[in-house]
Parts: sequence; structure tokens; C-alpha cells
Amino acid sequence: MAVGHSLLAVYGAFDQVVMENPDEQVRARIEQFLPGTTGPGQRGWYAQIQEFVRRHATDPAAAEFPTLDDAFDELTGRGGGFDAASQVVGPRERARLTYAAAAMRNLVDSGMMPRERIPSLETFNTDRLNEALSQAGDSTSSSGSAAPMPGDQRLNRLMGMMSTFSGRDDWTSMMAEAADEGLVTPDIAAIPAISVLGESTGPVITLGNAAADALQGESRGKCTGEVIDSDGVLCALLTTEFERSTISIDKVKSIVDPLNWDNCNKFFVHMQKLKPAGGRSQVLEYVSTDKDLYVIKTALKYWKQEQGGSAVINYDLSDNRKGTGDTGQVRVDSGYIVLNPINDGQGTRVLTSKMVAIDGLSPTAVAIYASVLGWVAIGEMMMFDCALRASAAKQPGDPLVPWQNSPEVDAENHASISQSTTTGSGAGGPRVPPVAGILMAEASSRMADFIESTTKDAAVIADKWVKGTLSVKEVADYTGKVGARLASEPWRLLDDMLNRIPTGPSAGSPSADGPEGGGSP
Amino acid sequence: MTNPTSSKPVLLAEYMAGIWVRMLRRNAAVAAEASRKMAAGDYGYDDYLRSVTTLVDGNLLDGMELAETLLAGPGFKLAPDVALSDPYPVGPDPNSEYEVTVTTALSRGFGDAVPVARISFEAVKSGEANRRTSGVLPVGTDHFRLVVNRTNLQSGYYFGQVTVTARPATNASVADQQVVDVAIKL
Repeated sequence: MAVGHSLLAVYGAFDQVVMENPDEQVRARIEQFLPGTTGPGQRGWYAQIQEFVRRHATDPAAAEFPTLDDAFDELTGRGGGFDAASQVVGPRERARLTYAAAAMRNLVDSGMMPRERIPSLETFNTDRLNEALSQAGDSTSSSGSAAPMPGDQRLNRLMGMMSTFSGRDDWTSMMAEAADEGLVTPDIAAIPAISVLGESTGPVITLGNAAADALQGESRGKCTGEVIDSDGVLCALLTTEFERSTISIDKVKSIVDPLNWDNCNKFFVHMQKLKPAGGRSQVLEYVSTDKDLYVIKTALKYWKQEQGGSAVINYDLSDNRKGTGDTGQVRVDSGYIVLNPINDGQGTRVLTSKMVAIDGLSPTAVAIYASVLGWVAIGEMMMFDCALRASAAKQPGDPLVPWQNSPEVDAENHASISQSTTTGSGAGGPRVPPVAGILMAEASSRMADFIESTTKDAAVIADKWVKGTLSVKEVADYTGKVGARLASEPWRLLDDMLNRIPTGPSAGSPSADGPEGGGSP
Repeated sequence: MTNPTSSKPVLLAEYMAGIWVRMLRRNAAVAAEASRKMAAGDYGYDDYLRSVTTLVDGNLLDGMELAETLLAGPGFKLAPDVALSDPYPVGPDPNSEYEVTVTTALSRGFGDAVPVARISFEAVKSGEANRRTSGVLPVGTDHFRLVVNRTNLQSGYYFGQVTVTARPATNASVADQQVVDVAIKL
């Protein structure tokens, strides 16, 4: 099981509740905790991500996400306590888990998390939420700062704070207080709640580990999420701004090159150097939430420059992705990493931006994929953590690449354009995709053709739909044109599908579609 | 059109298709269970009622979802088209107008650049509301910011240079001209 999938399963539980319950109160409460995820077109992101992973998995049958119980089991060390030495679940993952567990505890206790019709939730043992919350004060290897209180006392204090926690905006002050009291470790408290939409700010955390100067000082950060239209493609636009008062810019610069990211975070499976083009460095980025299952490969170009004491990396998709091994799922991927010196040169502020669109995922799903898992980590703590353990980050055969201003000289012997093949076919030969995969691909294709063909105004309608500015009259006109087919097409498709899917134990049965059962798209 | 993308019509299609799929999967499951029981001779009136109730409940929910989706849209609040840079000081003569012009295009190092027509300047003056200008900063301006229409521009940290020149039309005592490194985060 992969930690990333477990985290997605935990956050996905909120989405499953939203999809199965039209109750506005429930949706409004969940929106408070995860802004930008419950509206029409926003909700349903979890099934999209599951479908995306299935579609690109070498073995679709192995692409099922864990149940909520299994997810908590993995993230909390199977009840045996957090294993700091394992490095599998780092502070960032623990911070994500702590937030989700607190939000879920709050919703369950207030009766706002109905679990009917959601197999993964119906059987969920909610004691696991307490376990996750109590572990937020367990020390991590990177901070070495153990909370002084036993776990059950920490939990009681945290539960006492729940009355003031009714949404993401309350998290900052709750974490500041919890860190002060030693209920959560500073490195967990410092990471803001995820931001799919709007701004999420973390508390100012004072670090006090006397063992090393770099571990002292102040930490603060914030993340923002927006949707942006780029040439008709809807992208997630995610920014971060984090600072540490005692880690110098030189230390961060020494590890910031994209070729080092796989030394810093497991989401970056591999960063393969490509031949520079026109003085721009290039890299083939391999990312995955479960590298044994699927890998997204994207060829990026980047440019490094210093200006007025700051260091900047700009990146974008390579001009020529063909022949690099790029697997093509990423449609837009551009942004920057800016390092500014602070605190008289003793500290660093890291600012990042990422505009990203991925085929088959809505901007909401992309934002969650990036925020819960990897890309946003670059701007959060990844650079600081990696700078602190730079010597440990060196791996055999994969040394750290130091900072060097662009342009990069094209040394012929360095050229290493990938000869690798793309993912997706798998070593085991072609497999029959799960029922859900067939249905989704077929339905998406038909629906897209249908929308294109049924009205000349499709683009106008879709544009207004995206902005939420369709009028009732426009909807009436539109559905008047498409209504009959809207109503009948699912049945035609069902008939086709039942005729096409081979009969057998999985065909047409709920179990074939995995843990979500009745499933939400 | 078989390649799913993030374009708006296809996003709408994918979202609605998702609702279809849920409907289909639920209906297929109910139908399969009914068939299995019928084949075994176990399908009675209670089973029939249960099947119908499940289908009606589910389809009502899906129908509402479709209607709501069409009416409300996905509720994406799109990011603003306009971005502002950090402020840059203007001077040294507080009694002079200054004119700002872009002398080195704002770029990311990739050979692309922000078209000059997309760039304007905001005059920041203590005690007054910020004023959008085409480049002439009124007397007393403390700082200026770059204002960029970012429509369809990729995210990046765009570098460039502007020249800030005292306007000869005023009585500036210092005929100064400064080249300023500027940048804007898009």
C-alpha cells in the first residue's frame, strides 16, 4: 500500500460523503473544512483521481485505493505508534493526516458525516481518528522534539479545543495553541491546512531544538489555490510562501536544482537529466503516488538566475517533449521557485507558484493531487528539510547537483535523452480494465461528442458553466435541446456495456468497481 | 473526441459523464442482483420493492445532481487577470514627474516575454489612492508597481528592466535617469 493513496483515501472520504448526500448542511460543513471541493464540478474529485490512477496503472486490478480503516492503519503505524525512523510518513504527511482526522472527528461528533451508502465509511472505526490525533505530538526524526505529555492527555486537550474548530480558518490558531502546549510537534503545526481554493496560513512556530542552530528560529508559511484559464484550459494555480529564519539561502540553493528533488521527496520518483536546449536545462520528471503502479513522466525545461541576492528557477514544459519519454498526461506545468534572503542573510523565504493541468482531472482534483501529495511540498518544507539533511540526501549514483546559473552548456557527454518507453502497458501484457474504467472512458467520450454535437453554442455554454453564470433561461434552452438524449443516453450506454463486458464474477457487480461500491464519479 | 482534457466543454462532459457512470453502476448492480435472485427463484415482492426503491433513490439523487450542475456551474472562481509586482522606489526628486518605460522585456529565460501592451504602472503615493498610469508617474509618487494583464501567460517569475526618467516638462532639478531591475510573479 502507498502512503499517498492512504492519504487520498482519508481526504476522499469527505468527497464520498458529499457525493452521496445532497444535504446542503452536510456539504456546507465539509466546505468549511475543505473550501472549493464541494460545489458542482468541484465534488467528485476522489473518483476522478482513482480513475486516473486506474487508467495509467500497469496493473489496473491492483489500482484499488485502500479502505478508510486500512488507510488509517498505514498512516498511524497500525496502532503501534508512529515510527519516526521509517521516514515513510514525514511531518508533511502527518500534518495532512492530523488536519483530516480533526475535521472528520468534528463532523462525526456533530452528526454531519452521514456514512450510509459508503462502504468504506459504514464500517469505519472512528477510534482511529483519536489515534491519529494523539500521535500528532509524537516526535519525528527531523525535529527530535518530543511532546512531554502522554498521548491520551494530548488527545484530551486537543478534543477540548475542538469547540473552536469549525473550519479551515480556525486551524491556524488551534495549531499555534496546540504547539505551544506540546500537543503537536512544531514541524506538524507549521504546515498549513491544504488549500484547494483560497488562502491557508500556518501559525508562526518557534522552533527550539538546541541541538543545532538551523533547527531553531521561526517558521511560517502559507498556501493559496485558485483556478485559472490558460488558453481555454482550466488549470490549478497553486502558490506557497514559507520561511525559516535560521536556514541560509546558500544552504537552500545547494539543493534546489530540480535534479535533486528525487533526493528530497518520494513523490519525485526520479529526476532524469536531459540534454539542454538553447541554454535551458532540461529534466524528465517522474512522479507517482505509487511508483510500482504508475509513473507520470513530464519533460521540463528550467532556467536558473540570481538577481539582487535572490535566486530564481523558472520552469515550464519542454519545447519538444517528443522522444524524451514524456508520457503526455500533463498539459500545463509552469511556475517558479524564488529564494529570498531574510533575517540578515541567516534565513530564507521560499516562494513557489505552479500552474498545472492534467488530462482527465478537474482543477479541483489536480489541486488536491498536488497538495495532498507532492508538488506543493516543494514550497512547503521540502527545501528546508532537504537543506538540513543535505548530506543524507546524497544517494549512491545520484549526487546532489549544486546551483549554477543558466545558461547550461551542452556538453555532449552529458546528453542523456531518455530511450525509455512510456508507462501504461505494463510488463504483464494487456489486461482487461475494470468495469469502472470502461464505463468512464466510454461515457466521457460519448458525453463529449454529445455536447459538441447537440448545440453550436457548446463552447459558450461551457464557458458560462465554468464561471457559474448560466441563467435559468439558458439552462432551460440548453436542456430543451439536449434533454431527451440526456435522459435516454445512460440507458443506451448501459445496454451497450452489459453486452460488451464479459460475463463473470466481476461483470456488472458492485465488487468489480472497488471499495467505493455504488461509487461516485 | 476521445482524449479527455481540461478544456471547458470536455470538463463539463466529464463531470456529467461521471454522474452517468454512477447511475449506470448502481443500476447495473441492482439489475445483476435481481437477475441472480430470479435465476435462483429467490426474487420476491420485497426484493422487487427494494430494487425499485434503490433505483428511484439513486436516480433522484443523480437527477438533482445533473440539474444542479447545469444551473450552478462548477463554481470556479477564476484567478484575476491582473497581477501586481512588488513596489519600486521613485526618485530622487520628489517634485518631479517621472516616466517609466520598459527597456528590457519581462521574460522567464525561455525567450518568451510579456507583451509591452500588457504592462502598465501603478503610482503609489502616500495618503492617496493608488493610480493606474501608462507610465507617467505624477509628482510626489513614492513607489511604482508593474501591472500586468496575465491572460494566457504561463506562471513564472518574469525579469526585466525599466528606465525611470525625470520628465523635462517639469522643473526637476536633477535630470536623472535610472535603470531599475524589475520582476513580477505570475
